[in-house]
Amino acid sequence: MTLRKEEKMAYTLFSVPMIIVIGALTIIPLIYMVYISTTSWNLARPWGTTFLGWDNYLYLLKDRDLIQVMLVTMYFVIFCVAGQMILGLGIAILLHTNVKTISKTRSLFIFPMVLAPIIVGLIWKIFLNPQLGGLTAWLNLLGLPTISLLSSARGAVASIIIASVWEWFPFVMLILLGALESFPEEPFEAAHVDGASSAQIFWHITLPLLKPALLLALSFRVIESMKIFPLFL
Amino acid sequence: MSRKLSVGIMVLLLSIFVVLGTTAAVAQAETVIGEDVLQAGRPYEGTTLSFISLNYLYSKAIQQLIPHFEKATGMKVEIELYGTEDNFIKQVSELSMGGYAYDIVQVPPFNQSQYMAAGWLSPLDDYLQDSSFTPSAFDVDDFFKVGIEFGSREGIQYTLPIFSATILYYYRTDVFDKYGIAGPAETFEELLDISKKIQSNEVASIIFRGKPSIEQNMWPFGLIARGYSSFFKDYPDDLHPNLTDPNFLKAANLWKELFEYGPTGINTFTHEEVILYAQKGLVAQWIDGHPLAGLFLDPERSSVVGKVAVAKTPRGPKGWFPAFSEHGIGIARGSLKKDAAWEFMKWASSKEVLLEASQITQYLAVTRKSVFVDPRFTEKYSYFGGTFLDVSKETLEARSLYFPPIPEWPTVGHVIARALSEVTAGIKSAQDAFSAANSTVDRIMKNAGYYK
Repeated sequence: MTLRKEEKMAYTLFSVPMIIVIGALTIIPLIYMVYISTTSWNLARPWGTTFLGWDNYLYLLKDRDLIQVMLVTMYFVIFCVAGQMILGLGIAILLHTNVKTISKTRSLFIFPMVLAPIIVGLIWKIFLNPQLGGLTAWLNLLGLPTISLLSSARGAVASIIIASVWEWFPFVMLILLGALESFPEEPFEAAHVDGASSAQIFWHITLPLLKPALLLALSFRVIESMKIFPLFL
Repeated sequence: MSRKLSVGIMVLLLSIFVVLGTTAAVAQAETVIGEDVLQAGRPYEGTTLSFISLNYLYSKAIQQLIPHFEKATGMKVEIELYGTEDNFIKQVSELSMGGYAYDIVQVPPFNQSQYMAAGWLSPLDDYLQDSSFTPSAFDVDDFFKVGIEFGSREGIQYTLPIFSATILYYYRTDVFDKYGIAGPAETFEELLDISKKIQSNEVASIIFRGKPSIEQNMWPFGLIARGYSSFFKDYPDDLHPNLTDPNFLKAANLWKELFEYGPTGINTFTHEEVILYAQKGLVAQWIDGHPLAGLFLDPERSSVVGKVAVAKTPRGPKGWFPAFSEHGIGIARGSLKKDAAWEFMKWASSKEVLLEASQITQYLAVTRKSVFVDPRFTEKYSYFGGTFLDVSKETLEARSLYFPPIPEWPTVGHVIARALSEVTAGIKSAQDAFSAANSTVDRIMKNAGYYK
């Protein structure tokens, strides 16, 4: 549809306030943030700020821990997001197929997501405590030895991944469930009539239709997974 | 009746009950606690003050006593209580902008220098020296001297002390008797020897705060670090970091060895785990704050009441440096109600209020000499067969700050805390961890202008 010149002008004018607000709240602060990164400014020590040029970045690049930090972050994001996507997809499919028992507990699956990240961190910290935590209690009940995830560096990262998957799989579940419930029935009915198995239907029909929703959930979760500092605290 | 109307009526009734209950509690008292330090005539009646604080014993006690202040002055006080990190973030965000959201701020010990240097707190000297604002009953000389000094910078007073903590060595007498240990360790080497002897699967030898933080692992580590070496070459004259000193590394390695006799997961422990493990009888020794004594001996939660004793913390080759820290309250620079805020500050740090706070809660980190020797105080806190107050007094009088009171300490302390955690977690050797930390601290101090 082509727009007349007057319509284009009207649309542009109506967009200006939004552009000003977005510019003021995101673009300008971003530029200022880049400028601050070239100074010695410290929020908690605001006096005596000096311009440092690229010194802060050079210092960061020379930090021997930088590679390790980036590797751990990448490791975390990959496993965390994978866990959230797989679990979220699985639960969404279960809920969509209307299995009676699970459908009735639908709202319980959202519960982890509504908790504040700091609370989630506390819950898992207590649960994983090697002497007093719930995990130890369950393992002992089953006659299994205690696992102490929090006492090693690798175990600590694994704990954060588990906690983050638990907290955010509902987000993925909701996006994918919404997409699943908006699908037309016809392709699935036709596939059934043609004798396709459930696995074939899932692989050749469900997943391709879910692709936009999967990409949306994936991009949100990748971005958010890099900002989970409260969970570490 | 419509749903909205029903809910509205319920809320109204509930509010009436709360107000009546609170008013009744104060009305029953013959006198208002802390009234003697307040100005006559209720000059700030109708004012609402905002107080932000750490969520701990002192502020919980003040929260309970607020109706007395409100009744005496006609003011209202809104209290916001947070955990350590949130408290700091909210305070820094507001104070750095010169905002007026908060009138009175509780300042943690390691932030006092920072806040004062940044000009985020209002000077108090004019109020203290003017008898129309501060009657003689306030008695500023009654505060422990070091607490008052801690809240001043370059001769100007910025905070009043309200929580004075030191660190003690607690140990299980039943475990010591079982293994034939004659008495508590007096040196850190003895502490390690005892820890090796009494280790068992059921009861860990020792527990510390292990989480990397200036108020967690740095709190007990300061004892050992200063007992062997120091954080800086020659504070306050030479502020080059001293973290690669062989004696400092020896202290760090000793710390790591002690951790090996702690419970699993000790690297992540905060004071909450120390309290919990002590209460559950899962540890035989712990070194932690004296204000927590009441929690270790809480008869409703602790299984070790009657089986714990207390002693001075061990010393190192350089001497005995028991940690000490002072929390204060100050007036935010941006507050629009400074005079009214001073009324609250006087009241909240007065003799009567601190004494009453110590009675209605387990708040024993009092900052006034008269309260410390008051019969009501000494009777309540005669823990450990009466030795607790004597040991606390001796330790408090030794008053050794566990960190240098410089504005850069929160950043520097965090770097050291993190390096220490890398050592105790086995990620790096003490040499490697503190070599990197030394470079970082050196950069921080150079940028701060302490040397070129």
